Amino acid sequence: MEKRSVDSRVRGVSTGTTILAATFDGGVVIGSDSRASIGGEYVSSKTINKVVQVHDQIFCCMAGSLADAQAVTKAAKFHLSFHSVQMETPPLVIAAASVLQELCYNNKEELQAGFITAGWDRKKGPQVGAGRGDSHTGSRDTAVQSNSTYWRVAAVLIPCVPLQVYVVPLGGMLVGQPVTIGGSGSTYIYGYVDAKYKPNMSREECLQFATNALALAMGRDNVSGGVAHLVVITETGVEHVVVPGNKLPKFHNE
Amino acid sequence: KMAAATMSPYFGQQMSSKNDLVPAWTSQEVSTGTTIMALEYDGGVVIGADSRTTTGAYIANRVTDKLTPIHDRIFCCRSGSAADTQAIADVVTYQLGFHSIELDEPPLVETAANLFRASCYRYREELTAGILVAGWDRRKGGQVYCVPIGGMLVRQPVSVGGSGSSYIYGFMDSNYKPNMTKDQCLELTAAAVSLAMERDGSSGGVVRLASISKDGVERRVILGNQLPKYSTH
Repeated sequence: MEKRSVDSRVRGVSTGTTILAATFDGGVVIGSDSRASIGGEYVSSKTINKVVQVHDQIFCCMAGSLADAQAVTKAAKFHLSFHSVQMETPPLVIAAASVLQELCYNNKEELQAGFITAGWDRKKGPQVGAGRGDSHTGSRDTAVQSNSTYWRVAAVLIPCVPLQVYVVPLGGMLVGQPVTIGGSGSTYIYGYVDAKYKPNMSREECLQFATNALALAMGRDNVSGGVAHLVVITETGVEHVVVPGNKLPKFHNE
Repeated sequence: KMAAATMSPYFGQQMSSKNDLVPAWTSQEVSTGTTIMALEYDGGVVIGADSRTTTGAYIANRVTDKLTPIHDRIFCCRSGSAADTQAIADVVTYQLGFHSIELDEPPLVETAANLFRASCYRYREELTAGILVAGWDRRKGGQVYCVPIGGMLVRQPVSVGGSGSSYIYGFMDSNYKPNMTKDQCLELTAAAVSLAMERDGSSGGVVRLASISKDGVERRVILGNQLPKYSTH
């Protein structure tokens, strides 16, 4: 606990957070909480939007150091728009994930950021990917103390491929998965996501699943909270859904 | 004095780092990094645990029994240091047995929980023990008490513990409902422990379950190939 707060005072504002992305039949939902805190002692913002648009139908989720995540997504946005002008076509989600991967991997010593990339492109439909850039490989440490698992992760969501999300975890690996979660709050919902996620759900089911997962994580993780920001990306376009704190689903112990 | 009985770990690590012939786990303390759970239902309690004990990266025991009887209708679920929890459980078993003979009636679950708390709190600097105390008594029926590291005591209708528990908080919050039947509790416990075992490196093996009521204790084991399967990606 001591080390964590010293780290964040040195690193500045960090988003201990919960982010996720899940594919459904025809699209992908990407979402996050909205709390930015300094080491879990002070909430510096209750309403931050961690879902960032890097292209028309490609979104990123931020987790980990806010400064790092913003810097990386800004660079990625530039690269992607240049790339799409060169190719004369909207970029593929995997291209966006790769751009992030490159940035994370080449700067892994300095960065504490992981990305979930999700979106939609014409070649492969809805996709999700995740990536993290961090100087500590293997930072997903399961210690005996259940409250010490903490990822410093920035996640970027880029939409792509047949029902796959791309994950670029800390270190700069790139993996495509149908559903992925990230951030410090994600440890508490692994069981829920494993049990509840089914491929090819309907849009409403997937939205409800994402809202529930975020609400459960925010209920247990003290550095995640606020509102739930969700973005639904399909072939036809992008829709933002914001669920305020008092409208989040309540569970038996609340 | 209940000190954790291991060789000075500092000395051990020096030896390992200088000598590749000595594997790292010979100098690491045996831990029940684990997943444990206990739930109350009307008429009793259901408890569950995984079966893995590790020394660092080596699985010292893959069929551990972490559900330890303290008295006829009182059990405890152990997590943390294997040595510490065994020692505490032995002490509490003795103290409770003696107390029950003095009283000439079965002891209360709350008494057992308080005995655990007394030891865990007094020796909190030396111990690493997270314990769930669960059982049935005539006064209050089925009860679950949580005694985490540090020596707090709190009664909860449902409690999870151990390193694997972080992964199933969301699952438990969404799936537990008050007033479930015994079979629903057993199913929920088996499902939750399996999910945690899937994600936590320190949990694994088989799922051990027990249900305690006024009629006695029923124990069962769910083997690896019989565990509920989930679509993992």
